[in-house]
Amino acid sequence: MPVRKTETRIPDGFGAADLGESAVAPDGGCALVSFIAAPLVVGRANTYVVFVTDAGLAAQAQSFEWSFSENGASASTQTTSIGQCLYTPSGTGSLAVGLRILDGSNAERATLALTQTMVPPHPGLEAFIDAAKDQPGPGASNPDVSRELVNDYNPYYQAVALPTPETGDAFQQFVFSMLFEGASKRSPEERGQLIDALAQALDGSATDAFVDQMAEGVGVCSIRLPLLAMMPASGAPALPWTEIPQASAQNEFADQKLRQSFAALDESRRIDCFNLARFPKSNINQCGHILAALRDHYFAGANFTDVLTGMSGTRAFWIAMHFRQGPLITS
Amino acid sequence: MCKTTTPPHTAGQAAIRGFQPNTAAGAVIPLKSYLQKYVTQFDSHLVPATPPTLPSDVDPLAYKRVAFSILPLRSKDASPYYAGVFDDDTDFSASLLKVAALFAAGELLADAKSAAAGPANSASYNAGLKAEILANADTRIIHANLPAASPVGLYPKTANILTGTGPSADFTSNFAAKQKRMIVESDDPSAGFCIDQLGYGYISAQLIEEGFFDPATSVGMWLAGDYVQNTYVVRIPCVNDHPDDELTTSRQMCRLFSMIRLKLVPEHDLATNKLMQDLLAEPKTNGTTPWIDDSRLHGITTSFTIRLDKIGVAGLGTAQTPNVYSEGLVIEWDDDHQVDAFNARIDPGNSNPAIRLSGEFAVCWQNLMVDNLSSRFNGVVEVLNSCISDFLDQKAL
Repeated sequence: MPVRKTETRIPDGFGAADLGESAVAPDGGCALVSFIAAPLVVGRANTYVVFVTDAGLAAQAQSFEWSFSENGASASTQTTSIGQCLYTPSGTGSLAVGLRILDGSNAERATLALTQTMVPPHPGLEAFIDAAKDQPGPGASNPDVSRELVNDYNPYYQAVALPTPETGDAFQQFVFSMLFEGASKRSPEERGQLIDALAQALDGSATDAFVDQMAEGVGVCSIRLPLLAMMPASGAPALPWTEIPQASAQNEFADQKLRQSFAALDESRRIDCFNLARFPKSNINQCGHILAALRDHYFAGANFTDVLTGMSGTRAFWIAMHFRQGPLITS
Repeated sequence: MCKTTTPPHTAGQAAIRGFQPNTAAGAVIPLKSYLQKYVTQFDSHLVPATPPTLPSDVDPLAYKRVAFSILPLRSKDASPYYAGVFDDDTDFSASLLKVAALFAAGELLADAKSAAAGPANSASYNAGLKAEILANADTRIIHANLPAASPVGLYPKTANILTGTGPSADFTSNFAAKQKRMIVESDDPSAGFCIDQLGYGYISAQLIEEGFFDPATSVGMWLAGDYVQNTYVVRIPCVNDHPDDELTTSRQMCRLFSMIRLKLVPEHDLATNKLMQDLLAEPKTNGTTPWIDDSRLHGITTSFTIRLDKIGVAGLGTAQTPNVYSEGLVIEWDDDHQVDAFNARIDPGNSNPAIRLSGEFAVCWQNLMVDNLSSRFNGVVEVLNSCISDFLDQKAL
């Protein structure tokens, strides 16, 4: 069956639109999600995922035929055996994305469509990068990462918000710094490879491989899946709050135990956490949620302006440490 | 606990985070879509219906690959709306490559102006040029057989080109006069003089340094012949001809015209850039007439004014027949309303003047067998008129 388990369910409490730009079938049986919300940028690859949530349709689906037509030109088509496809716009204008879910005899069982605009790379950023080349002082330290964030995820990190709003934009600044760090750590291709490996492991029963692969953070903010299970945006935590030692050797062992606990969770919880971390939009939102939860736990009462600027940024430093390696035992 | 405190952000990040998201305003139908449409529509005016008789050492199908490059310009830089067809074909383009010599000469003058004041033939200045050439020129040129009997070598004969080095450096009056005839009249002996003085090595190094030629793929602009003699030349393979010595892709020639027009070459030397623009400017007094000048067209007129121009024509293969025609230009679109309407589309609030089109376009076309076409140059103008007009209007394809 080509519908992988990871594409059979949208995370509990979330809709397709919470994961990215989406189109949902009228009967709700399947949904197409684009990692990047339009406008897409010419020359930048975008990932499309189809969720087949209707069990009957999922049982029939054997392949996926994707079509991409720019400005009404004849479409380029790709057929995939899993519900995921990559496309890079070649020109500006309008992109019509079509998807046909086919059964074993190549008969069409469902269709989904999405129309997106395509634009040139962000002109302000390009001018900034160009100017920074010849200027002293702070510049676009990593132009490739800057291009990815500004062109692909700008609406996502601009929209991230605390449940209880605070004055200033310190929270958004903190989320952006973690996003920048995560995107700098691994290229989009490397992140994609990890996501594919995890999806494959979740689809089978290779627990050991899953535990090992999970050691790396997932998605653009490099989120560790156990942290996500410990601090859900809503509902009861799938994993209890578990602090682990800071010392390197002990941390590694304790983190592995944490990952094993995650791997032992109910399959639906594991898949939901994976999908929340997989899509840039939900990944960035979940990063914000985790940072807020860590702040509430360790520095209750401090707003994010205090966190970033007070005590020479010590609290921000520790929240980032908890995010990367923890939550850590602090006593 | 570790007391290291590193705030998880930098000033650079703050600037990047502050950019507003891309808007759909730039989602225009690309120029390339229109170019492809009209190259197809006017194919019978671009490609001879009857295959031309070609020399045996020329690809018999290459005549169908008429190359176009169009680059809309902004006030200070090139726009992202470039379009091309067969634009990475490295073709024999004859006299069009004299612009490469003009470019190299401009680079040399700008370089001399930035050097310490002294005589043009000073040992230290020439040693620097030699090192640059040996480091950056194409190895096929560096290792070419250019004996003392050859009128051309690797290195510039600086005393024949420059009055000296330092801020007051200029071209010698003789070089300046020959350079003018090379461009304005497309005079071959004058081009021979200029190229022979500049040296193949220096020209190659400049073309490679500025990205006009890629030695790894042999794609781009190549000038290792002097329009006068055929003995001391360096030929490389190309698409439309036998291996030859005066070659370009339309993409790189278009780019060179855009950089000249935008005052980007030579860097930091506006006076030399002005000199280059003045030589290429249209109309040329006692000079060549653009191939796509209205006077050469049949029953149609251009929707633009030609600002800069250089033409090329010469025969293919060992037999040197039939001729292929080519041209590099900067044109200005006549209908300001169309340009304004396009700018209103990509920058509705006029909040970002830097991304608005200026109305000028750098253009290069090549490998056109005009002598085998009853429509002569009409096809080129039909393509340019139609595709630029539709692009500005964003007409449905």
